[in-house]
Amino acid sequence: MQVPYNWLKTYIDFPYSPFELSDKLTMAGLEVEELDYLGKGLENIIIGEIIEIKDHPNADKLKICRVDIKEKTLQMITGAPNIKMNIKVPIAEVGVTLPTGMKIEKTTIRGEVSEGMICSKDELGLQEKRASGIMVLSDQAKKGEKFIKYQGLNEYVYKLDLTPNYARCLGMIGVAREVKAMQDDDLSIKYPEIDINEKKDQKADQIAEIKIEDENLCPRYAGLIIKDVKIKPSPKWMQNRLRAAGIRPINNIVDITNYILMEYNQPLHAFDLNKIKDRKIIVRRAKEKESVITLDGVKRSLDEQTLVITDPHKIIAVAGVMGSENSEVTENTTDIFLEAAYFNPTNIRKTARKLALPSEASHRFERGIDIENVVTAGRRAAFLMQEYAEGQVVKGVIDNYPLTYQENIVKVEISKINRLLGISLDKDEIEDMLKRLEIETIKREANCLKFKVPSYRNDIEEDADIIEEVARIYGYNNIFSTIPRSNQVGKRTRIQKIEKKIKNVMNATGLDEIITFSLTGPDDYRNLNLPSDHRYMDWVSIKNPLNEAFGLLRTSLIPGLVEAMSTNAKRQIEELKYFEIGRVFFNQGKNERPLEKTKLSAGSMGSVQDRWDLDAPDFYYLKGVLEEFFKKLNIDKNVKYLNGSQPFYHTGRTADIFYEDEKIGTLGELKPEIIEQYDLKERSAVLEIDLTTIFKEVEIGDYLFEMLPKYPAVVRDLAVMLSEEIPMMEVLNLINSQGQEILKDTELFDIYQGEQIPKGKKSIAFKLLFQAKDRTLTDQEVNSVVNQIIEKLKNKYEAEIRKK
Amino acid sequence: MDLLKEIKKIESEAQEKFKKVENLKRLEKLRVKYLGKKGKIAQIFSKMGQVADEQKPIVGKETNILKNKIQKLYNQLKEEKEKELKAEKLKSETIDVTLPGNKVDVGHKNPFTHIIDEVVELFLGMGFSIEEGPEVETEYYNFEALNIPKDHPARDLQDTLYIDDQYLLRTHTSPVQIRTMEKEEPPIKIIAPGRVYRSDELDASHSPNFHQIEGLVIDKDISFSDLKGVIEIFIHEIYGKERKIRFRPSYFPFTEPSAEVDVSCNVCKGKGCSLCSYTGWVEVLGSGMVHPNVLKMSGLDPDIYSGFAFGMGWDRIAMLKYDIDDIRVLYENDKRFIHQF
Repeated sequence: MQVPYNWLKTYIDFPYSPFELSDKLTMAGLEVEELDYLGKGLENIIIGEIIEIKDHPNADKLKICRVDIKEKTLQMITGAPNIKMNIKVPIAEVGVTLPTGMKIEKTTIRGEVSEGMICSKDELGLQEKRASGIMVLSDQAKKGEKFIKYQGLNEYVYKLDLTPNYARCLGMIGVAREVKAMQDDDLSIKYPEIDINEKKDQKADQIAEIKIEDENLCPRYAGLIIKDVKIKPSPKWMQNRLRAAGIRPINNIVDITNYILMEYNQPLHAFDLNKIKDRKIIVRRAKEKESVITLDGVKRSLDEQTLVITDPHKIIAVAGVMGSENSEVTENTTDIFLEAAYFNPTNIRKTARKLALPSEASHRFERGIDIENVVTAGRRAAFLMQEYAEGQVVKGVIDNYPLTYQENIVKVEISKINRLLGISLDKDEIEDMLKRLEIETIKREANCLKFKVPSYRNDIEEDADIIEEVARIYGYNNIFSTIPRSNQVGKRTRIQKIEKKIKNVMNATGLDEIITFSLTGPDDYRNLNLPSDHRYMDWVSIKNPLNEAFGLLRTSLIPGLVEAMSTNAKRQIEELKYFEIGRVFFNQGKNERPLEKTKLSAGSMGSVQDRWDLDAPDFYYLKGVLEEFFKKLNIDKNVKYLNGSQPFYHTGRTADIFYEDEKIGTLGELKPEIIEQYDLKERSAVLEIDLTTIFKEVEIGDYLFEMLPKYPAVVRDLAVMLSEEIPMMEVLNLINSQGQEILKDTELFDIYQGEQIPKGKKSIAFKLLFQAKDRTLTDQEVNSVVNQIIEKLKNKYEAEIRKK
Repeated sequence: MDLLKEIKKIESEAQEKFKKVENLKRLEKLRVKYLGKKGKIAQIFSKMGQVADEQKPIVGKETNILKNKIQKLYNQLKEEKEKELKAEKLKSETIDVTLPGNKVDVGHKNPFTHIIDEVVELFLGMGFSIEEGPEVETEYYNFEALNIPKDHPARDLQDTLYIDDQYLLRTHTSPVQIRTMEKEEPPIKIIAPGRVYRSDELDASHSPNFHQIEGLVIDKDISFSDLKGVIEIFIHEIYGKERKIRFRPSYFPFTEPSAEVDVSCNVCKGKGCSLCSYTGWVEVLGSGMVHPNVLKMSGLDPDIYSGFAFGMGWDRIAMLKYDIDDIRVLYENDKRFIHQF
């Protein structure tokens, strides 16, 4: 809704400057999104009259003009083809800067002096397209006068962002009522003039007839007849106001209906009376497969849910949405049938959506207009047609009003108002406040007031709505602030605590936290080379996606992570370590609730430290992170890693992660094709873990203190050579199983494969730490355990002992 | 008598030599020369047999004095020289303290996490709990239970992404209000952070996927002034004590009265600039008293209970607080961006 300041002022004489009013409107709940000054940059343009035209002696296409700007005359050179004697034109004198940024200077053009410029529309910023000539003003324009005054540009315009409960403010009078309510002094609304000289020889209902077939969809339909109209441009002031409100002037009849739309928030429709068969209007539902060509020339097929305006032969309008060409007002129209109606809001909303035809009219109908004001608005339009289209208004209004408006009475408890707002007002104060909103008290009871709500306030239904109005008038910012009393203790849930702990561990192990979109596209999954039966392909699709790239919900955090790694790699970031905790979604079948799971992902790219010299720094970095992660969650003993086989991992460098016997995640180096496709650094690795089981199993803060050792430790190194096939975890498990309580720690510190040992073998070295709680260990004790370990290694893996 | 003379001579000679000593090694040599088993002092004692008896105590005394003197001199010099040596060693170990330190890997929190940690701490302190809810929602929880009936213009306020006839992606965190009221008895005090979805094209100020933080308080006698108090504490904590706050009437279908909350623009200090569209105010939060229809639908009697709710863009807080002018930066995950937090 665009509200021009001066137009608004014709309804209420408020004392505010344009900027003060802006603030008042916003604070009343009519948020001013933008405040524009229409004449911006045109303040110094004045009107001149061409009083002499001569040919330029040195240029065929140029003319030398003398322009009268009242206090003096100036010489100007122009090449405009439409220059004529005695026309009025907009003039920019020397020193003036045009909205386009052009500064006018005194120049000499081929030997002749030019003391200013005669402007075209585009030079004044009034149109974007380049104009073919100068702008010619009407004869009424006064020379020497400011152009903005003539053009109605000395105007501030408020762009209001109105919420649905402010539908009443989609008309100027509605806005004026709000301004009145916000004002302590008693300002009154100046309602528009309606002074019709009725043509008495006939009555409207003798000329035309209205029949409503569905009163629920059309509770009121009124018609007025205006005869002998002259179709011509509407008066300048009306055009200026409409333009300022963002509506393009067309002709006097259309402009008047639009003017009323803006003034009263009442959409009107003007039909050519003589194109209505039998002058009989029937308001009915369309029939299945019926169609109509609307004013925009498009053929629309309708259904039984669509309300249409018809004559006995044809549809002449889609009710509340758009008229038809077959009954349109044209240059030759002489008699008007003017429709002023109230249509069912929900039905109009559905129709406008179905036909994709949102209009100023449907926007208002679907929010609900003032059903009681329908006839007044129609009569005001008829009056304007009498004044500005030389029309003869036929006596009477054909008012078909089957569903009469029921007065809306709302009862409010005084104590409830005060309790809910945290204020203390008495009955009189509340009554006074609401009176400013034309909400009248009809009954005073001991603790209650009963109010009659004006018909234009369809947003007020119950006491909560009245309480809101009291708060608004009282002023939100005048209500004191308090803190609610409470004896509750705020705390995180168990899962929230675990999540926080995970984030802390991830940060502590050097990983940055990222957030990626959960809306994603199929390409991300295609790029991972997943077979169609892969779990990640069970995604949930969006029915109405913005585009393919946001067409589904992620089933894995890995695509987003890889994308983030790729973005960085392409920006010359050499090294990064990332993690994310977020939800993924799995399709459970049509109309079944998708499964939401929380997952953890992590990725490493460009790590340097390569602990085992296996050219797998990123893989083992993440492995280290996981070990620390499970240890901090106190479940490291329950976790194991086995060779995995996800299609996006390097076949020889991926593990499945198990908690007890349940697979909870995967870890691996991305396979070379993916690394290449995403421009990642070689050897980049990622992992993903389903946190469901962890959330179930982990107990936060479940630590038990173990006494620190009092007796010294014995350390033994053990180096063995065995087949390279044997996984380290097995060897470690075997060693630990033989430890007999006194083996406290087994640390692998070296692996060797190469020239010094036979092919197919590896040499591994451990540091074994022995310690007892209650005594100093003897050599024999330790030796016996070490020997037992060696025996087992020999028997099981044919290991050769290299040293001990 | 000769010996006494010799003692004098040794003394002056020793004094001179010790004075000239350069390092601990030479000092040790001198010690041996005078104080050693075969040193000059020992030699005098060995000559005592030649001394007349009555002279013996005098010579003996003088020799002991000499010995003590030299010993003292030695000790003193030794200490001095050792000190010098230590100082020299330390000096030789001088490093360039301006060299950069070792590279330490520290993971950085995401700005979203920074914000929520701050918010959560604040609300936990005020006795709020943290609730979560599904991101895939039903029409009922996302709209109807929040007093947004089908075919109501209020549905235009949010463009919804649908999954099928039953499910949609929640357009706000407000469904968590309903889920909480359904399962818990008042008093209720919660905040609910989470992801939300809208059918908005991705540009500098819109994203189809973004985050909100919701708040809800339900109890007996909760008033609009309580709403103001809690929100003022929150805003002052997050945006700074110096920020001015204003509440202005607005509309949300699930609250009434509804209030939009603005804070004074930090860039222009309220004078008006492009960030605040020349109003001096920046919109940060929507709020209001829970609508009686919403209470009723969730099984609470509006004549007994009242409450307030508020909701804000989590991304928007980050953008305002950290001066980020493009929402996309939050989801791009550029390392240089994350490392600023």
